[in-house]
Amino acid sequence: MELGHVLAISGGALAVILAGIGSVLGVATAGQSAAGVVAEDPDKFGSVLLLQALPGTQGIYGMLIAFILMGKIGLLGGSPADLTTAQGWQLFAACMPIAILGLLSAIWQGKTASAAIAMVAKRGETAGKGLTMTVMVETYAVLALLASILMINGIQI
Amino acid sequence: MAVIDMKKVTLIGIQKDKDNILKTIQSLGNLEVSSFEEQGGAEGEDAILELGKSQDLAALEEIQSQLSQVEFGLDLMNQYNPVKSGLFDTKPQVDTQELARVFDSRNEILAVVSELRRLEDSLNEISLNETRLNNTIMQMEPWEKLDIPLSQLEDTLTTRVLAGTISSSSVQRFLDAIHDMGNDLIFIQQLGQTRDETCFFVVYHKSIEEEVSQVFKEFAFSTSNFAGFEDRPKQIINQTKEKLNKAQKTRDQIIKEITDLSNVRRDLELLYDALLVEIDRQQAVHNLIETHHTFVLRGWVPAKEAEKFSQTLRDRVKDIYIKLEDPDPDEDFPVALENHPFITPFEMVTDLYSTPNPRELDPNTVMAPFYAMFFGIMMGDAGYGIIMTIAAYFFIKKMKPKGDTKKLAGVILIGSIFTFIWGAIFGGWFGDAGTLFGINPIWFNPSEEPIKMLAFCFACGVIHVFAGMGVKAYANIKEGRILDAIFDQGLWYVFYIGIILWLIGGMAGLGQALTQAGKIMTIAGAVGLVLTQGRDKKNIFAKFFSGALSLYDVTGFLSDVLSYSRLFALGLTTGVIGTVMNQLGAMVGAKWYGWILAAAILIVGHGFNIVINLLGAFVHSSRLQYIEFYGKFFEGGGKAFRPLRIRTKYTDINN
Repeated sequence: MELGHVLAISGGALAVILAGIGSVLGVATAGQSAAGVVAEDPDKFGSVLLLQALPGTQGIYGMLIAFILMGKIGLLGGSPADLTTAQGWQLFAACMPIAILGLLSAIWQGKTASAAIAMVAKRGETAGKGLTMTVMVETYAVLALLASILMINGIQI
Repeated sequence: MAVIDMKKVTLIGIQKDKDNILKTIQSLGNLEVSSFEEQGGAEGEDAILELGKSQDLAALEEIQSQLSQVEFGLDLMNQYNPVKSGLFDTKPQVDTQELARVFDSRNEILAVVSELRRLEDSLNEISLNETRLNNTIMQMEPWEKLDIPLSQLEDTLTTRVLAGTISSSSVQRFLDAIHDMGNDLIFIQQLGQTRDETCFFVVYHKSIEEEVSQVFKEFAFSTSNFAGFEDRPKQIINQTKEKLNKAQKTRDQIIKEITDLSNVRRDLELLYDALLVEIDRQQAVHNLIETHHTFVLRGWVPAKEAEKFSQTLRDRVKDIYIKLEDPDPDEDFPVALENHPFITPFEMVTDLYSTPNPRELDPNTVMAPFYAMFFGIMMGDAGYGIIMTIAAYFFIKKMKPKGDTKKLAGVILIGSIFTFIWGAIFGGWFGDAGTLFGINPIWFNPSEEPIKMLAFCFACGVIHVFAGMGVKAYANIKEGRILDAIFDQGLWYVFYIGIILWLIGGMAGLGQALTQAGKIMTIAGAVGLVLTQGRDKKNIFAKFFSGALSLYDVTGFLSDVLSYSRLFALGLTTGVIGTVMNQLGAMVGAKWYGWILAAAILIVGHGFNIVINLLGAFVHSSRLQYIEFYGKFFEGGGKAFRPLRIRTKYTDINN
């Protein structure tokens, strides 16, 4: 295995790991608030669960990029393509948007979700507004995901 | 497609008819009683009114406390004798007479609840007792080998008799120290251990008191106190265990009694609903303006049903006065919407954001097609579309959901149909399964032509944002502000379309004519905007300044349109995860057991993919409506119409 492969796979791994860590922290933060609310009012389980689930998507985006990368370099089909070191660096860099933004946006989305859950606890009818505020954070993870996809797609192998 | 017109109702009746009138209103279910403050009766009325109110409040509080008792009873039953509910259980049907009958005989049922409460109290007492008994056992266990009744643990004439503990870590050194004294006037017996201390029984002659206490002090020997215990430790443990057994038996007995009482569960549920209905009505009563003999009720009723409403009441009650009025032009009234059945579910999406206010257009008709389309593009898988359509259809048919759940199910059903359509257009069938079996996309495959897909998403965005501006323009024109429509929307249209033509003309090389037209439109639009956007400023410089500043809004337009790239990103997510599941399935599927494993992976994997992306599609298409679309025109802030009606939890009312 050449250095190019090492770099490309490291990029994919980082996308999964960092975005995954972000989601773990985000969902956990929101989950702690959610548990507090449900302890008081079990009927709110549905709406707080929805809010808790939102920071979970970044981890999925990270995994998505890893799979797209694996498809690109032929790791899934069993016949890996030849990569130069430069191509390896390119693929590594292409993974960075979702890796870094996934990490940060999930953590902060978790905090927003947590605040929104506190809002739902006080006023149940505000679930929709809390959902919207929380989704605002995710926009940048979606943009990073798209950038990563387009970059990987555009790199010539 | 609109906000329903409302009539203001003023109703005056006689006190003795009050119950009858309110019951009729509640069963008709189409009048919202205005709050006491809105009734305009708080000031200027006299003390009689306050008196009437407080009495009703007491009645209301009594019923509310009964409701919480019933709730307690149901909770207790669910704790010890949970009902196994099936997935497709429907609520039992009852009629209002039955509810009324249950309400009248509520004291019998509440007696059962007090019985339940008594049983729960005994359960708590037993738990407390058990804790105490367990503590005793724990305390006695280390002393089990001590074969002397604890009450006889006393000094004799010449000897001292002691039971005590030292730290377990110094046991050996302690024993050595005693041994080193070389004195046979002391007897020492090592007993059991607690967590970090070891127990000893010691007898020694009083003549060596000084030496012994020296050793004891050195090893921090602490004498144990057994006040309140009589027998040998072993006996005490056995007796306590006996008591614990008995307590367990009593507990089982009580739980059985609770379980036996569970056959009144249905009565409790009925009473719960009956009390809910009663509370709603009592709360309405609390909002009335009352004198000794009469009362005034003010509220809102949908204009279409107003005549029938007043006729029904007049037929049932002889002495009644009802006046129906149109609201004043700037008076806020509660908002109820009326839409085509295909649009109605989407009201829920708008309600999550804000209820439209009574003076604006109901946005749902314009929003619904966009919502369904975006939902479809984001799910983007024909196979999933079919499965979701079937699931949502059966959910609605079998479960007969009501209210918001029904609307949500409707949104998902319609969204699922669009998921099928867009999945087929972009060639998504359970991930890449379609391509494997040779089903080609109707239009193109987004992952192969990402730039084309992005362009398509941005085009959707432009159309959606323009539609939002269009609704605002329409509202402006309808209210006679034609100049506003021309300046605030028309000029922006010219400007934006100009920019787009300019860019597209350059990029796609569609020739000079298009680019030229674009340039002219952009410049004309920009000039127009600079001249008009500051028109409400007084100072001429301020006019131009805020006009020029308004051009900065173009960044807002840009970010709005770029936001639609999420359509592509989320659509791709569904496709790629689906493809991965297929590959995982293909890896194991070789022998017959491999096939079974593959089937399990595919079912679980695709199920997971559907759920995750359903969440994403729902929240992100909502967001596109709230931020990008509603931001252009929607004001919201209306108060939803909440008529006094029969509202139940455990049963459905069938008349």
